[in-house]
Amino acid sequence: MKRTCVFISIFLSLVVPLRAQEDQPHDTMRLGGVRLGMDLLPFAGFLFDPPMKGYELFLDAEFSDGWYLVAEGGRLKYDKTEPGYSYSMKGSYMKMGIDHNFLKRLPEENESLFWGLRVAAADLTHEAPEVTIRDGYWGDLNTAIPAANLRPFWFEVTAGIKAEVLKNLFLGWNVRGHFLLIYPKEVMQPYIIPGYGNAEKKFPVTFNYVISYRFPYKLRVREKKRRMVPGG
Amino acid sequence: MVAFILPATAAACSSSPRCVEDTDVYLNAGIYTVREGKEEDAFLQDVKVYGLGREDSVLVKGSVSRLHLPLDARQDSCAWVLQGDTWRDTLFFRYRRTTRLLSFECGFIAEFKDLHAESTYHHLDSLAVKAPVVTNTHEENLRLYIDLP
Repeated sequence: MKRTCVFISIFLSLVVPLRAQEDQPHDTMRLGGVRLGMDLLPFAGFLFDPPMKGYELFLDAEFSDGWYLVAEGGRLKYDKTEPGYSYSMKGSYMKMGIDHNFLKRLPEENESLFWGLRVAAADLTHEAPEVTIRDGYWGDLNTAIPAANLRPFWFEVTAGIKAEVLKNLFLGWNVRGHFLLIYPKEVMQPYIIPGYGNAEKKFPVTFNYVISYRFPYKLRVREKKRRMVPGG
Repeated sequence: MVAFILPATAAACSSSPRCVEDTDVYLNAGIYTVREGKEEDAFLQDVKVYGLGREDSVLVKGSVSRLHLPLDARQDSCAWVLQGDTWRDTLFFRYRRTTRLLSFECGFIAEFKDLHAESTYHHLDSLAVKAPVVTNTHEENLRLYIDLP
């Protein structure tokens, strides 16, 4: 009898596939939060390119399971002196968008692998107060490009990861592609557009290396619990 | 951990670009003659080229079929003298000056737009402006026609 039961059990486990049975969706509470972060890469960048000074801040808030509203902003100042000219730029930018974490989130895990979209705008002023154009025959021209204000507008796609390294403290990076949409043509294009990158490129790709802190709150999410039952 | 370190390394290792563009701006002129209705390349023999009032600063001396003349970026006009053994012609140029940022690696260049050219016609027969924007390309801006015996 015992052998018969064992045989039937093995037979059923092989022949009858397991079928997932879904319960009705139900609301549950789990930990979400507002994350405030800053980009660490500019600090490394300042070491390699000292004329650049600025910061970049990030704010995101989970509003639905795996979906985040994101606001980002920053300021950038760049002063450059080269043989033949000096250049100065200062500006700020603002970005709004969403991120989506496409990792299935487990209750005690806060890692995310995400993609996101942004619309962004910058406001910058730049000038070249000293320009010397060398001419060995007629003589050098000393001139200046007066200050001009620009408001470029662009669109971004981003993807990256975030991991909780300490309680509510996150470390992550993301890569971004930028599509410049509105860009007034001037005598002099800016060396760098704050938040966008190299203004000479139509599709610059940039990195952010972000440390952020989460101010937690309970988030209501809709979950479908699964349990495995034998079925056909 | 590698997933966190690699992007930072890649960003830190990007090298700064260097100037790869030509920063010299010349008015490029070609010497031509017309034979049986067809344009042919020609030479100005034993010619001296200098700016008007700058006889002491000869730009070119010898036989030339092409001239690369700098325009005066400090003024809206300038003139060049072409002087042979027995003749002398003066080319007068008027233009609109602009300063353009070529790139941050290369710096600024002067550009000259709406080029207008006139000449005395002792040895020269005629001229034609082919490209009225003088910039850092090697495009031919001006054609100078001479009569050959």
